[in-house]
Amino acid sequence: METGTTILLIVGLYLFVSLLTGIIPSLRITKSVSGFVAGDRSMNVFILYFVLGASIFSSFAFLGGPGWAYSRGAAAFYIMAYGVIGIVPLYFFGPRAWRLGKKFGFVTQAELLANRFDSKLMSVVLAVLSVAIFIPYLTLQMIGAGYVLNVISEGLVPFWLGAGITYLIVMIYVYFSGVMGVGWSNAFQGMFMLVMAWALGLYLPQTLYGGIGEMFAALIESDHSEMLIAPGLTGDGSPWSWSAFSSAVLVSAIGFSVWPHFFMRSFAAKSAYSLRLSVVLYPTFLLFLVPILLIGFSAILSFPGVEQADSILPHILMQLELPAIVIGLFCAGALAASMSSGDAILHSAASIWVRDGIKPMLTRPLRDRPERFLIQISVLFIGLISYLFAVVIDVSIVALLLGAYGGVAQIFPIVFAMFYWKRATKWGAISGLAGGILVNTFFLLFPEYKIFDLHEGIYGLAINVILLISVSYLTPRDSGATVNKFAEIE
Amino acid sequence: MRVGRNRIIFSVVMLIISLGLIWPGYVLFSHHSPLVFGFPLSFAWVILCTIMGFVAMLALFFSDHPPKKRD
Repeated sequence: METGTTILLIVGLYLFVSLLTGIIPSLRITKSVSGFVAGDRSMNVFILYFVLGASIFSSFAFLGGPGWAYSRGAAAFYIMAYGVIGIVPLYFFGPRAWRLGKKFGFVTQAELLANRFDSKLMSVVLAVLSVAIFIPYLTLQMIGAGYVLNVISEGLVPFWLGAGITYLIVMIYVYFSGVMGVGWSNAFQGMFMLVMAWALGLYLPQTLYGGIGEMFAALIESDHSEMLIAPGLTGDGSPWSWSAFSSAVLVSAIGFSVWPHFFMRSFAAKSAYSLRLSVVLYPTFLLFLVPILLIGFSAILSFPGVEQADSILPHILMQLELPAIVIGLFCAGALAASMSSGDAILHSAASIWVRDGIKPMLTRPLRDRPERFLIQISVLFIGLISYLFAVVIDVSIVALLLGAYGGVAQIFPIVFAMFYWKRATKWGAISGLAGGILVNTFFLLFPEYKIFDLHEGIYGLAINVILLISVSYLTPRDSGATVNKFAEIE
Repeated sequence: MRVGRNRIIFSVVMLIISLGLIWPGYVLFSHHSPLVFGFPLSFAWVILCTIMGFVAMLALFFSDHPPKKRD
């Protein structure tokens, strides 16, 4: 059989299994909004573990991770460093959010915040912020999928078709099964991705150098030894400063637990205990980045001069003359990385858009069935918009996403205040959030005005916290009953 | 009281791990040599911190949710 046909058969089989694992849960969940958005609060530890793990490990990790190690060396350790710090707040926030959700019917992060701070404005602002971040994020996942299929099939599958077919399948199972479709398909995709990453991460150093130790010893002996000294290099090859590295780790860690699609999985858990256990197990998923980075390091000496660092994985696969079946499996692994993040983002974007963006603006209450249908339609709509961006890609979308990390981190202070600071007020929270986002965006657009070489998110957070505290003290206390409802839940 | 004390210990441990992953802690382990189990020191340190973070969270989890004692 021809190489191309074998690869496409394996990819086709993988996509079919993904579709099945995504569709079958639709038979078990109720046809309610809670069923679609929060899976009737029935996710067990196994599914949650993969949902939390896989929704973060995206095309960026599978293609970008090796790319960072290849071009920026030790800078790539940043991706691992922030995860273990960033997951900790969810251990404390998660069970509180889960109990409030179960008691009062919340299914999104913005619903919690809008209720505590009695503000529809905040809900709408968070919905717009989320969708503005999710569309480019989803677009990047689609680009990753289309790109991998195009390169590996040696142009046989055009970019638009690869991205189109992959995400048509994602849209189908998200449309029918909601979050449980995301959950079960992520479990399948996550396991698949883990096996592929470890297999390749161990195989490449062994084949190219005779082992991991030998590979790093060769790198240390070479002209590239400085790449292995933390904090590595910047994108243009100059040394990355400690202040820039440390502040990037901090901002990403602070924002990590409050990414709206990540945080809202708290509501899908079967119990607070399951949620906590999944959070505790999360760092074991982080170790999956070790082989991913090894792939990138293995290419530094063996495949020098690849201009587009993110393409290093497909580049290696094509150079090594591996059996078609192996290339097909890795191709499916890369698609799994793209889809397992893409489906979670698509589902969250649609849910948040309707629950937090549209619903608070309506004058009449929305019944459950029409609301669910509206969310399902939004899945298709948002998927289509992102696809249109993906097939007419320009660079600005990547820049937009990189800026998103600083923006998302601005949600952290108000989530913290919601649970732990009774004196926080509506206007304190709104001004903190708005001030933080504005300052973050300003320094993202005009980095030359930064006084210190710190991530723009740090400037945003400083203003955010100052405004949250000062404006809260300058404005009257919020209603005692609501404040206590949030502060006293354990 | 016991839960409170464990949470304080956990917070201190996580603070140390966090400072170990950024400036100034990471500076001490930022060099590529020696190789630890084949990994450069700078990489092995991040892996070690991830494992330590996992163990700390696991310990906190078991102190918050003690396994039921057998009869």
